[in-house]
Amino acid sequence: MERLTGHADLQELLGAYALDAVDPDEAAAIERHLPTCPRCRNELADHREVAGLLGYAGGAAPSGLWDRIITSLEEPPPALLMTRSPVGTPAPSNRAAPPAAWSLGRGPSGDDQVPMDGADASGIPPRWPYVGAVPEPPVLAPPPPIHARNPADNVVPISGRRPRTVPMRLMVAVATVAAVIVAALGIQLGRVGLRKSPQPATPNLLALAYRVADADPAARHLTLTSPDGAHTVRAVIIADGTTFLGSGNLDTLPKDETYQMWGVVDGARVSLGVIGNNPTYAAFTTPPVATLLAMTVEPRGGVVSSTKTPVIAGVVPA
Amino acid sequence: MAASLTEASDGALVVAIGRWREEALAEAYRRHAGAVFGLARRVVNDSALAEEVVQEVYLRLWNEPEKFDPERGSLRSFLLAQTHGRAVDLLRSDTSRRRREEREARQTAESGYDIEHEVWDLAMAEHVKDALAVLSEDERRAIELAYFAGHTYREVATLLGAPEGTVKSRIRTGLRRMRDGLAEAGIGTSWND
Repeated sequence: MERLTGHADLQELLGAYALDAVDPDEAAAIERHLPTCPRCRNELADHREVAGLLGYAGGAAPSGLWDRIITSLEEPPPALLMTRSPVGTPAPSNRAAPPAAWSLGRGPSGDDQVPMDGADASGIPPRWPYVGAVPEPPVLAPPPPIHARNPADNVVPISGRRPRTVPMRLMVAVATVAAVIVAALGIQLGRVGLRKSPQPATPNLLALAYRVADADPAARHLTLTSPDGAHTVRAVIIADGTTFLGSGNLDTLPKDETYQMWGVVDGARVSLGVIGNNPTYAAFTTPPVATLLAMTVEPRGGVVSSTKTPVIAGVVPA
Repeated sequence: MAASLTEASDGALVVAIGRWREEALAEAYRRHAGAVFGLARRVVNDSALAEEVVQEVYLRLWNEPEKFDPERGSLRSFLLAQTHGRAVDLLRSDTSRRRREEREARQTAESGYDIEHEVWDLAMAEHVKDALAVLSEDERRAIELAYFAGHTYREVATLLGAPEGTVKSRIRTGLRRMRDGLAEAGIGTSWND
C-alpha cells in the first residue's frame, strides 16, 4: 500500500471520496487533512452538492416509514418538553435523562415568574426560573471557546479560563475604569426598552472591562445556566448596575437570530439589550430591582416583548 | 419562530429540530425522505434495507442536528451524503459483497455490463439526466460505478480495465464538469421542490 504523501495526492482523491469510493485508510488520510485545508473543504463541498443532485431520484418514500421513525424517537420525559436548548447540545449529554435535581420544575411557591412559551399546551409549568437557591450547575470541563464563524467580525472567543488576578492598585479604580471603557465603546446603557448593543470595534477592551469587573470585590457574580446545565454564561454586576457577560459556551445562532437579555422586574420582563448571534463579551445595565436575568433567542434585531422560555437564566444576588 | 416551517430555510429548519420540534423533523422528512430512500434503495438494491437507512439518517438528524452546517451545503446534499455513506457501508459488509460479486459476475458474462439501464431504471429527474449528459462516456461510467454501484475507485479501475489514476481523475473531473454545467443552468444548491 503506497503511502499517501503530498497535498496533490489527497486532492486527486477528493472526487472519489465524495462518492464514498475510497479505501478506509485513504478516507482517514483525507479526514486528517481536511481540517487544515479550506481549499480542499470547498472542493469537497462542491463534489458533495453534485453527488446530492445525482442521488436525487425523484420518488417518494414508502408509506408507513414516517410512522416508524416518529415512534422510534426517544420520548422525552414531560419535564423535558420545556427545554429549549439551542442547537449544539454537547454530544455526551443524554438529553432524555436530565439530572434528578432538575426534574421538578417548580420553586417553593410554585409561582411562574416567567411566562410560558405559548406553544406548549401540556400545562406543565416552566422548569425555571428557580425561586430561592439556584442549583449548582454540574462541574464541567472548561467550556470550549465559542466558534467564531466570521473572522471578519473580529470577535474574541469567550474562554473558560479564569481571569488573571488584577493587581491591587487597579481594583480601587474598577468602577471608574469600567464606566470609562463602556462610555468609550459607545455602549448605550441606562434606558429600559429595546436597545442594541453594537459590536465594539475593540472587543479586547470589553474583555478587559469584564476581567476588571470580575476582580472587583464589591461586584456581584452570577451564572446564567440552561436547565440541563450544558450552557452557561457568567455575569458580573458592579456597583452602578453595569453588568458584564463573559466566559460562556453559548452556541452561535444563524444570522437571522440573536440572543436578547431580559431582566425580570415584578414578574415582568424588561429588555436589557440585544447581544448578537455570536456573543463574546457584552455589557448592559441591570435595573436595581431586577431579580432575574434571562436570555432568549429572538429574530435578529430583537423584539419588544417575549414570552419565550429562556435558554439560560440566573438569579441576581442581593 | 412562528414562521411556517414549510418555508423555513435549511438552517432554520435544523435549528427547530435542535429544539425538539417534531414538526420540523416531519418537514425535513417531507422534503427529502423520497430522495434519501431512492438513493439508499438504488445502492443497496433492497427496499427493506433502504428503509432502515432512511430511519438511521433521520434519527441521526434528530439526535445530532448540530452536524449540519448550512454554510457547507444544502440539507438535502447533507442527508444524501449520510445516506450514501451508510448504504455503501451496508453494501461492503461481507455477505452483501459476496452476493453482489456473484450477481455481477453473472451479469457481465451474460449481457455485458449495461450501465445505462442500471442508471435509468429509476424515475430520474430531468435535470439529473441533463447533468450526466455533459460527461464523457468514460467519466459517466466511472461515476456511476462508484456512486450507484458502490465500488471503490480501485474496483472501478479493475471493472473498466483502466489505471487507478485515470479513474480517480475521471471521477474528479466529471464531478467538476457537472457542477459547472449546473451553475450555467442556474441550478443552485437548494433542492426544495
